[in-house]
Amino acid sequence: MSALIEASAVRHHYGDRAVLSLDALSLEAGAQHLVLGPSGCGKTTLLHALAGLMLPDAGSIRVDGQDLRALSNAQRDRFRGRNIGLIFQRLHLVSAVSVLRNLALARHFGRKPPDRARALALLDALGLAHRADAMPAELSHGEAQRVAIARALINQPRILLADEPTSSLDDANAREVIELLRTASEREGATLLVVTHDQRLRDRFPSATLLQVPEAEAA
Amino acid sequence: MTLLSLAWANIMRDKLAATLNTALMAVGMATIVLLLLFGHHLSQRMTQDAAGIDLVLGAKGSPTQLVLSAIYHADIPTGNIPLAEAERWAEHPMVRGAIPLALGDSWRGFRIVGTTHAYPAVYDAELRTGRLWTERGEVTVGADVAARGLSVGSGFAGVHGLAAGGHVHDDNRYRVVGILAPTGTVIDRLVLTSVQSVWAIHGDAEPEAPEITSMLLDYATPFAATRLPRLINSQSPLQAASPAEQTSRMLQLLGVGIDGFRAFAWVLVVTASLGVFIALYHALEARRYELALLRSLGATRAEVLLSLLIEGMLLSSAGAIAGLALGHGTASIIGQWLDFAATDGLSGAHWVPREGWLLCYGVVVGALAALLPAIRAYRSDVASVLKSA
Repeated sequence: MSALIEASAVRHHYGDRAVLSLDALSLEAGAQHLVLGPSGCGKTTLLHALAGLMLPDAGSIRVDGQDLRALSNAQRDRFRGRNIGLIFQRLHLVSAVSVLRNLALARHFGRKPPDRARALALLDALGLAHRADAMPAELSHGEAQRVAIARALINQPRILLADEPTSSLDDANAREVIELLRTASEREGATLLVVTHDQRLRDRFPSATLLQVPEAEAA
Repeated sequence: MTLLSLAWANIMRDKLAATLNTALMAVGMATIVLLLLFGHHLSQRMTQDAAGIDLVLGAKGSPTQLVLSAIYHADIPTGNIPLAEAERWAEHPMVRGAIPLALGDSWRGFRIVGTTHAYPAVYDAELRTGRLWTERGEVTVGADVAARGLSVGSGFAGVHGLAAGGHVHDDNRYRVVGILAPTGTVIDRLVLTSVQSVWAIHGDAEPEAPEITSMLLDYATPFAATRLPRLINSQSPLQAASPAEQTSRMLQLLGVGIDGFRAFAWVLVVTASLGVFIALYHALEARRYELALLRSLGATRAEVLLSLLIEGMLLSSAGAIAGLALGHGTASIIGQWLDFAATDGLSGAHWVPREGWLLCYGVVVGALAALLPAIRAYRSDVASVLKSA
């Protein structure tokens, strides 16, 4: 059985500074995995590369058997919309439209037909049923983050990627968010990958990869 | 559809800026529309008033003045001419019809014109009530004149001169025997009577050397246009002026003024376009992260570009549509409430084909204003925008 995510020898630089060096990462479908590392180890860059938001300088990344490098820009955008749900560190909603329409936008750009019932069911499962028509500015930080989780899951993605979901939370809230991510992705059948520098999460995941700050390469 | 509603939602977020831009665009567009309607109306009026009249005979002087006074009744005549001399040309083989005009008096600013029944026929004027004049002292009045309180059987005294305030001919009163239906031409504002009536008011109904003010000629053949005016101007003490030539000259002069206003209106429109540009440019700076977010949801570069173009086009076409409405509304008000001969009958219900181009311009200018911000959004690197957030 081939892995859902298969990354090998991934390297990236900004200018002459190495920002990411990952030898291998392989995740089976249904896995829940943590990538842990200090600031500057290239966690966010790795997340963006796995999502096809950018192409690393070197290395290969396959998602569900698809080599991301082989796709055109627009194809990569559509592939991401269909298969990958993203949760970012900071606020993540389109502020001009309501919670429900934020979810509808994700359906639209993921090239899936509108599904209001599913959107409402997801919001309900995350305890947000009463906030469906709220505008993003009216939400608390925690509510907005849960809406972002709902939106990342609305298209039934194969993979859910989360960037530092707990960085600004206290212990209790951090635990709650991680449980939410784990149970929600399990329920939706999505493979979960969280990247973080938050050591508290270390023992909450069945598997983890430690990412190091890349050493300056000898010329 | 979703891109459209997203663009709309973004516009509605900043209602003040959107309203200001739309208003600015609307005022510029409305000014252009008004000028278009006014210019169209005026040239139509001038062409209509001169239709069916090929040549005007009158006393020597300015040909423009002759046409203004004899066709549009908007200037004082160049002088009088001997009837015998005018009739000599009226009987020329190249002339099919001739209509004498004897001016000199007015009533409440409306000119009293001594002429023949052929004159209202030129404008296809029909009688609303009564009949055309026959006896001396009888008049048939145009629709606008009648609106000032005249009906069949009313009597009034003419005033010497073509404006109110001259000597009143109390001893010779006119009697209204007919009222013409509105024609939308100059004849609506005239009081028509016989040439003899005008002579009688001024002393002698059967003068020894009768004079008239001008004679309107209708050519029998197109060749007359090149030969007859030259013949008359060189071989008689009269002046011949072509209404078509003079009218197009006047419209050209008027056009210069209208062009000036139009340039001003375009400045307004361009300013409004700049407003749209600035609004979108700022919006883009504020929304860099959100646009990157759309990309992360699966939107392509092209879709992000398109959503910004749609936003610009929505803004500017809203302004253009509001401008068209405003322009036509203003035209209606001017046509209805202002009593100028030039705006008489100006209507907002009439549409000029060039307005369609204005609407196109509105859409295009919005797209152009959005283009630069949209291209910036198109080219931005999603990963680095997301990282900097």
